[in-house]
Amino acid sequence: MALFSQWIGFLVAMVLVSSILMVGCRRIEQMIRLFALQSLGLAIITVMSGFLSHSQHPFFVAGITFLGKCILIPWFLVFVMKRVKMRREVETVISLPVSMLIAGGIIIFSFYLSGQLNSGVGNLYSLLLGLSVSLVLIGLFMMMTRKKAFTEVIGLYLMENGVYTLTIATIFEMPLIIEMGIFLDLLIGILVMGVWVYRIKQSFDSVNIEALKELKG
Amino acid sequence: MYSVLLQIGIVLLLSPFINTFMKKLKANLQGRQGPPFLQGYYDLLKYFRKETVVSEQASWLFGITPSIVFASTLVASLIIPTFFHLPLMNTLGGIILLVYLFALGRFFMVSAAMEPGSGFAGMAGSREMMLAVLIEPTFLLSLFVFALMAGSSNLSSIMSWLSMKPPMILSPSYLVALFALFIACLAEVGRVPFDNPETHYELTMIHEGMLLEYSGKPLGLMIWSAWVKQLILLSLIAGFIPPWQMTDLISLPNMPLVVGVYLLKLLFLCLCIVLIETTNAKVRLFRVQDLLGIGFVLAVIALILNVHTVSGGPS
Repeated sequence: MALFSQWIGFLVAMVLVSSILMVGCRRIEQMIRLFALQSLGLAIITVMSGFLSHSQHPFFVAGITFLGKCILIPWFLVFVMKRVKMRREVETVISLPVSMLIAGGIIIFSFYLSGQLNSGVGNLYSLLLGLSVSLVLIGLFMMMTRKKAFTEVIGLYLMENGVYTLTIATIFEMPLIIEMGIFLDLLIGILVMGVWVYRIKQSFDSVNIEALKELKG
Repeated sequence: MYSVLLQIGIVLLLSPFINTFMKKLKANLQGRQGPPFLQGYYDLLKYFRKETVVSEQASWLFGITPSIVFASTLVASLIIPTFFHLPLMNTLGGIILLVYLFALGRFFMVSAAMEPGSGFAGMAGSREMMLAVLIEPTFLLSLFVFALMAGSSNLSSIMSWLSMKPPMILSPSYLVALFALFIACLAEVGRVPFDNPETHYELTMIHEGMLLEYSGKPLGLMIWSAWVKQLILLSLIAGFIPPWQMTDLISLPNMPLVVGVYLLKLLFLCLCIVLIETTNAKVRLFRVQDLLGIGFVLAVIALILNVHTVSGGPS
């Protein structure tokens, strides 16, 4: 029991570090790889929470997460990236060190928040809660500050990881059908967004979303 | 007293070997043969037998710097335990003293690099100062996380607190802080993502660049103190990774075990560094801040997680 808590703590640290590295890295493939690693961490957290709550349902969820987020989605992102043939550097509105500092601030804020929110629940859950809030906010921050359509998609999936962590932290017993629905949604989402990125590239000859402003003229 | 002498002897004698060992390991990984294991000692012998040439422009500062650098590094080595406690550390030792001993050596090294008027050395000095400004907060903050956990800024108390803990304290803040500390140490000793210790190309080198004007015995001292610094920073990290059965167990029958564990940890760290060096290229100077920024943010996160888990009560 205590062993599992310790390992979950370790994985929470891993997921946090990977999200910081995702904010800080300069190449998109690296970002996708980090995303896969992060999802793997979340899947393992889910398996452990399955052991902790003595139900079989989290194992299914972990399996789907592993298949979807560690294999299918990264594979598809890399596939689209090769099709689009864009420059692989991440372009940002604010510089990378500053955005990393902001991400650090976000993490501080969300852990402060989760510390304020739960007084009766165990330490583990407050840790997971803080993790989920920070993932959602960092994903949002990435979507706001990155210039390429591609990195926006990754930011969105980072946010989704945050929501997923929230479900682990709060309700273990989400009905499987809803879980399946969410994953179907994600997969369809990545397909649609892949086509979207490809179309942007086709029409504007760039995946830089600043080019979208020229629609009016 | 004996333990002080023993410690100084260990760091002085082991450090050339560790450096050569890393070189050899790296060469073998890349399919080259590499230097013989005793190359570090041969190099030192060679330096100490060579004639010293000093620029006419240089003043006393240039001459005094190698001794100051060497002395400050040796004093720093008395703060970091290798595999036994030093009684001196209980009164002297502190994280802040450690960081500022390094800063003292670095200040004199940079001043001496600017002094003889060599363009490249001055450039390397300014780079070194830029790096130093970025390293120090990461280094201090990550050490403060351990200090907060152990409730003392004294390295020997931190180590004995760690050895009292069960071997699995995978608390998130501990691991994140260790990672940040590792980044800071890599930068501090000038290994690959930050500075390439093997290059002698004037436009890129940092640490080697500052030694350009030195020759003979002073050069030997400077290089030796860089090696000692590398060894003690490795021992610092080694002290923070499990198993921690080092300091309190020291007695004659346990000796081989404790020394063996210490050497194994060093071997492991060398392997990590060599793997990083063979798989990564040196980053551009203006991207160093990104890497150290990651280290700094990680250290801040570790601090927050630590405060958070403490205030959240036991799990």
